[in-house]
Amino acid sequence: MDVRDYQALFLVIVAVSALLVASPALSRLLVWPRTESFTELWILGPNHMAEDYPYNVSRYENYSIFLGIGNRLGHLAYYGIAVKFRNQTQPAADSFNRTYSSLPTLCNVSAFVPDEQVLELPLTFSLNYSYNDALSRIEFYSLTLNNVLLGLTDCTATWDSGRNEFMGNLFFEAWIYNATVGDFQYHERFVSLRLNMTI
Amino acid sequence: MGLRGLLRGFSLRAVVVSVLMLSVAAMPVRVFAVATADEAQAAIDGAQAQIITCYGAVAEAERASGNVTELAGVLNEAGALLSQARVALENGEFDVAVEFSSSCTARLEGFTDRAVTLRDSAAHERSLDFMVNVVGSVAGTVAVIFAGWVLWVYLKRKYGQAGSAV
Repeated sequence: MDVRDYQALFLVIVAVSALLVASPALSRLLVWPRTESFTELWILGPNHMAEDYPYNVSRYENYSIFLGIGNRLGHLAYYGIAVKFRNQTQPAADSFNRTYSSLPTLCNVSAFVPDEQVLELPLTFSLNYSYNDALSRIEFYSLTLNNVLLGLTDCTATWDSGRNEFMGNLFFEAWIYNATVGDFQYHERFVSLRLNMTI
Repeated sequence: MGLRGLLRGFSLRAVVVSVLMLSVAAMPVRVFAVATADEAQAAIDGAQAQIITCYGAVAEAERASGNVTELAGVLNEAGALLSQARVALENGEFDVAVEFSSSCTARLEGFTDRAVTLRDSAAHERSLDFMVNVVGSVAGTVAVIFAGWVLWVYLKRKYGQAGSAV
């Protein structure tokens, strides 16, 4: 028997063993660089599914939704979620121009989300409004979000005959804290909930 | 009711009034303190500054590969209190705004120390992990290759010669 006949087999065994032992180091060295960093923002219905979203709302009735934030930025993020409410004529946030709504923020929800993690905030809201017979319009008074009363001033909704609704739009804009600037900046994403006020 | 009863009734009333007055005088002044808008705003600014400091400390701990989930949860609680303080300020409830700001600040007491401890322990674990998984792995690979070479030389000497003799 000549051991040199088994040279190839021996080399393969040594190479495979070396690779196995080197695998912990290789797993740290051969990491694909992250090419995209972004934030996910979503709303889920009361059953934690993308269905059964509240649409036809009644005065003082409580509605539950879930607001989700997913952080894929590569670092812990400090988000400020601006809660806003508008009627059909007031300015909304613009996803094409990536601009935020100029409407005042009703309240700011802080959210700290570590990298590669998700935070879901259960939100319960109700609206206080009345129907003005003389002017045939809905007049909004307040929005209650998680038991916090938020005033809705100068907000009315007229009948939209095209959609058959008194439209109200509850929306959430994502802002992010920029440590370099030392302030929050619009993070160019928002989610909204279209509502029809029933009389 | 006789004069004696009248006197007894009067003295009882006087005692009750005196006790009430003493109680009011003994009450802490804070109960009657009414915060102004500026004070409420200052309390909110202070709480916000503390949140940002804590955020920076947690971000550092995360950079050192620490698991910051729990600390982020505390920050979320503090953030919720700050949000409520802001709403109270907006509604003109300055006392409530100060109270929520104080709760926010209290929630973050000792937070930076926890974040620094987490950062240091994460950095230690990271260096240990590097030693075991990278340095140990590289050294192990070199050892495997060297041992293979030594074994090959040994086998060649032992069986190679015998093989050529046959």
